[in-house]
Parts: sequence; C-alpha cells; structure tokens
Amino acid sequence: MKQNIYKFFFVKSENYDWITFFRISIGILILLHFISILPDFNVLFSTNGIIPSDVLDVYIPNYIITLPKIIHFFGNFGMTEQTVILVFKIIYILLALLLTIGFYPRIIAFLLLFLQIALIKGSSFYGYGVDFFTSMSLFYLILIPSHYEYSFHTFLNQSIKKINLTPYRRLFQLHLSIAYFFSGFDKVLGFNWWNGESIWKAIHLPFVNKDFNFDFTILADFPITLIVIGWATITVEMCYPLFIWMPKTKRTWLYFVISMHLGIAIVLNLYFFSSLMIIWNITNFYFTDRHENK
Amino acid sequence: MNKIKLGKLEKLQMLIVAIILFIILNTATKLTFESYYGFYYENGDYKENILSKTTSKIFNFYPIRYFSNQTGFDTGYGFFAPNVASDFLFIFKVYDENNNLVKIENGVQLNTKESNLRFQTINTMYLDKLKDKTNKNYNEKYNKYLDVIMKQITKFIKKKYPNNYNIDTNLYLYNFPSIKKFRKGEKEKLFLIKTYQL
Repeated sequence: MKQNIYKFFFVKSENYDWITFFRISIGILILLHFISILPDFNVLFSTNGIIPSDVLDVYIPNYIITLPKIIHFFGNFGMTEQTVILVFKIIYILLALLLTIGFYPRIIAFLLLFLQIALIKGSSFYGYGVDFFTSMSLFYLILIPSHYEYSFHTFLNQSIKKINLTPYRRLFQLHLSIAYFFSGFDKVLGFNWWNGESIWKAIHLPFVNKDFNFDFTILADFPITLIVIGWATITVEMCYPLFIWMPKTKRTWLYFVISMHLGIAIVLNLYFFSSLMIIWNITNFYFTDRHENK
Repeated sequence: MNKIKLGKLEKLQMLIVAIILFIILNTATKLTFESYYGFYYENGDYKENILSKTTSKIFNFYPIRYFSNQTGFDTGYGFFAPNVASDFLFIFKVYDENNNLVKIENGVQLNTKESNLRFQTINTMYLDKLKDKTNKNYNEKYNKYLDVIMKQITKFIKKKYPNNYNIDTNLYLYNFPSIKKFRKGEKEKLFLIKTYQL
C-alpha cells in the first residue's frame, strides 16, 4: 500500500509537456482575457467608473491589496489615477507575455498573481468562476517549475536543475478530480437538476445564448431531453474522479468533459471560463507519462 | 518489503500537497453546505451541521483565509448548483426636460462581450434584495450598500444625457416559467424589486 502511494506521488517522469503546455496556454489566455476588457477598463475599475472602485472596495478586508488601494498609495507620491492605471495595464500585459515565453515563470507568475488579485478582489462583484481558476493557475505556476522546456532559459541553453514534478502533478490532478466531484455533487443536491428544470432555466437566463440565439423553446415538448442532459452533466462530473484515472476510460471521459465545456462555451457564451477548464483538463489528463504507456 | 525513506525535498513536497488538498476539500465541503442551506432554508432558519460548522471555522482561520483569498482557493465548485440562481435586469427609462420618455435602455451596454459579462455578474448581488427583515440573514447595512450601487449606476447613465434629463432606474427579477408552465403558454415575467429616480 505504502509502496503504491509512494509510486503514485514520486514516480519519476522526464515528460514536461504538460507543464510547458499549461504555462504557455495560461499565459496566452490571461493576456487575451485582459485585452478583452481593455476598452472598458476605466469604466469598470476606476474611481470614475460606473461604480467607483472605492465604492466597490468597501467590503474588501484590509489585508487584501486591491487596485484602489494601489491607486491611493501612489497618489501619495503625486501620481494620478490615470497614470497608475496605465502603468498597471502595461505591466499586466508585459508579465503575461513573459510568462508565455517562460522568462523566470515562477517569479513572473507571482507578480502576475499579485496584480490579478488586486484587480479582481478590488472589484469582486465583477468576478466570476474564471477569475478564481486564473488565480489558482498562477499559484500552480509559482509552485511548479515550468521552464524546463520551450522557455527563455532553454533558448539560451542555460543549464537547468530539474526536480521531480510528479507530486505537484498529482496534486493538480487530484484537485481537478475533487473539483468535478463537488460540481456534480452540488448539482445532485438540487431537485431541479433531477427533472431538467435547472438546464431549462440556465439556457433561458437573460444574459446567455446571445451569440448564436438558439431557440431552445422546442425542448419544452421533449422534457426528457433536458432530464437526460441534466443527469449526463451530473454523471460526467461526479464520476470524473473514477473514470479519468482508469486507463481504459480516461480518454473517453476527457472527451466527455471537453465536450461539456464546449457546450457551455457555445450556449452560455462563457468562452474564457470554458477555455480555462479545457486547458486544466488537457494539462492534467491528456499528456501521458512514458511510464504510464509501459 | 523495503522501507520507504523520503528525502528532505520529498517530505516538503508531500507536506505542500497535503496542506493544499486539505484546503481544497475543506473549502469545497464548506461551500457545499452553504449553498445547500441557502437553497433549502431560504429564511436562514436551520440548525447547522457539525461538519458545516467545523469546515466553516477552518475556512475562516486567518492563515487559511488569507492564503485562499490570495490564490483563488477560496472558491467552491458547485457552478449553477444546487439551483440555477435567478437573474436580475436593470431597465433605465430616460425622460427629457418635459418629462417625455425618450429612450429605454436595457442594462448597461459596454464595448466588449467580456466587459458586459463582468458587469452583469453584479446583478447576482441583488439576490440579497429578496430577503426581508424576517430573514435571519438579512443585513440592513448591506441592503443600503446595494442602494448606493444602484444610485451610482443611475448616475453613470445620467452622465450620457443632458443635465435636465431624468433617469428612472428599475431593477427587475427575471423569471422564466418552468417547463410545465411554459407548455401551458406562460411567458417570462419581470418582477419589480426596486426603483430609483435621478
């Protein structure tokens, strides 16, 4: 038993594709996500915004450093809010680029996490699932060395001391498994997930399905379809920790989950959130270690 | 059987793995209870389970709370669960100096889809507006804070129009009928929650 646990956490692997893929894709996603709000940045996050950032900041605990606090801090040195925001934007974009090319990624991820938290926690009412997962992604990029391949360091042929990443990979994989289990479990607690009503309600929320405008009203005549979709979602999520770890079902389950996220992207128009979850899935369960093939 | 001896780095790695897994499990459990109670005991009148209390205490233990806040680990995973939350709509009626209705704006329109999505998440705050004073979780201060937010949104809309124009902001609860009711011909309904004039 102990041997198996040890092997599970510490079997050595020379395959770093998963973490390289994770670093590059997260770097690009963070960059695109940030660019996507740039035209409205000041309206959302400044003191002259729709809701002034110092009003949004009211319920934020003092120990969290937020963008309004940063603006206030630099204001003491005569910097205007506009200048601080401009510098903030430039640094954020620069850090996302540096992370993508693997320039001291652990340090860069740390700095980027600091800015991302300052931005999101300072206006937490604008935050949603993708922000938490972005923060956690950056945490993993602080924890796990991701510069062993396709990085600034390998480009310069620097010698890199490598450590065994398997324990961290297992942590990340277990985290994802726990996340899906609870996602399914929380759904099964709600009776509206059993009868198709939750799916029906979700696809008819006023702010979803705006890009393709599918007419889902026809599904009212076939409620069994909604029940099946509801239970399929619960099954895919709750059974994820089981089937994603079994070699025979691993790929199938991965495709199920990725399909589910593509569906969420197309119907609910949550593109960034879906992309991030697909990245987490590919990172953790697409790249197979060589020893797993034996 | 060979005895397993972990090196210093391996011990450290296992410690990190164990702590983070513990935090993930604790937070997920705590927030599962929270959403369960929130859904089935809307008025907040329930006896909290011991596991819920314990996970809550651990979640609020300062070092864990601080770490989770700074790394995103303070999230739960029950998206759209146990129930899909109701949504809200802001509708702004713009009146000219003669009190003629000149425009109706549905929500705040920003330049990009992602900005709109972000701004719309603010609507979920207004779920607290549905609680009345008999609800155990009713928070008067927070309720007033939500009114301030509504005033700020109204001010933002007013800025786009001449000074002598007036804005009538209406916050509605959006309700789409259940499958059964929809088949009987019922349509979506808007329930007025709050109004504000400026």
